[in-house]
Amino acid sequence: MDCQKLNQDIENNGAVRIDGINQAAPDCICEKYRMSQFSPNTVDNSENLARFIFSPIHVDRKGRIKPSIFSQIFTTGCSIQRDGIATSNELIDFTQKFLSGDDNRLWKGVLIAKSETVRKIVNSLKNQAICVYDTAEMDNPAHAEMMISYNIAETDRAELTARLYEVFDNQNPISPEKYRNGEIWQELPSDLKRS
Amino acid sequence: MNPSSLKGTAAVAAQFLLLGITSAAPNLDVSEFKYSTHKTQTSPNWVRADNSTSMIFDGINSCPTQSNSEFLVHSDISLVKTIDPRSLIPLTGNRSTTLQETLVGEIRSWGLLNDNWDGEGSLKPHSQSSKEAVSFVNLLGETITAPEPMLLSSGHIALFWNDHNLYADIEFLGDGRIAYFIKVNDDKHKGVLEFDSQQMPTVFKAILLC
Repeated sequence: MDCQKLNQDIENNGAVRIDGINQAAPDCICEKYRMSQFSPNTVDNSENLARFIFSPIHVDRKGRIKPSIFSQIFTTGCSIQRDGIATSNELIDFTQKFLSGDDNRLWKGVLIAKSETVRKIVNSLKNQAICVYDTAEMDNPAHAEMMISYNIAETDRAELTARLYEVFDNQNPISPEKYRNGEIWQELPSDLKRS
Repeated sequence: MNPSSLKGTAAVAAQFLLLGITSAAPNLDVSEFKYSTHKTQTSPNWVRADNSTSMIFDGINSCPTQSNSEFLVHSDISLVKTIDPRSLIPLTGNRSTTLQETLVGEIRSWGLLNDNWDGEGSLKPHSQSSKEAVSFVNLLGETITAPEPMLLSSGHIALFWNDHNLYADIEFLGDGRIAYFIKVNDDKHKGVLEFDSQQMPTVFKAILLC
């Protein structure tokens, strides 16, 4: 299976991307092959996945994270960083680029989950519901994505999101000041230190 | 209308909560009023506000509050009943914004967002989904814990509760249907149902309002 070619060919446009991947490579088969030439290797079950929270829209009145932070799993693919292979310099670049893209963005923290727990989320037929792919980018080799593994009925979406929300330990986001002992936060320019 | 007197109307009306309009036009949505603050607006449907036009500023929704603006109004505003500002109740002192109004305001404020609002390719808010969510919030009353509004990557609006033993996620699909997942203690409820924006579906009355 040429998963790199599939990833390159699929139109990067909303649900078309996820549908296209699932049609050509069902049942998360591309988890076994590199999805990008920039990826060092496929995502191992032992790896920690980091979901960075940059939009205040996903934060509630009490400062808690809302499950909407994961809603990209049904549309474009939900971006994550492979915490074990991302260097701090790469994360500084990534964070800086994201925050400088829009004045309304801020860095509320990071949610972490083990890759294996995400992959163990199953549907009613006990099939894997969410795939984790190593969709590395040239300037961000630790980039990966989570996406649904099949066309999930509207009835089941919120429940699936709830499971993902749970495994990412939503009650305990790591603050920017504490993530990697503040190594990323400290290196951000002062005008981007918005949290 | 003389622009200066219109400015006065805006400044005065902005301090009032709109009351009474619902009896004149029950389905009128204040947020749907069409207006422009651009003096260069030249479409034939846009006319300068005159004495026969009543502009409504409720201070919560997306109507303009700039005191120095000159307003043009859309000529198809025919539903608006002229309201004597003296019949309105002042907001100052006696009444603060309710949580429901805050929620509605937040949902409507998302209407200004464009595609890719999150930098991850998400779709801009779906207008019909937003309207359905607002209708739902207005039906909730103030007797239960207010939900959190959510903007999903699909552009749909959802409402979310996560307090004590209740976890609920209700998504407005924008076609008169709601997809829901509710967990109370260990009891799970999920499904898709019709929502007419007039009545709270029975399943939610039983679970959320009890």
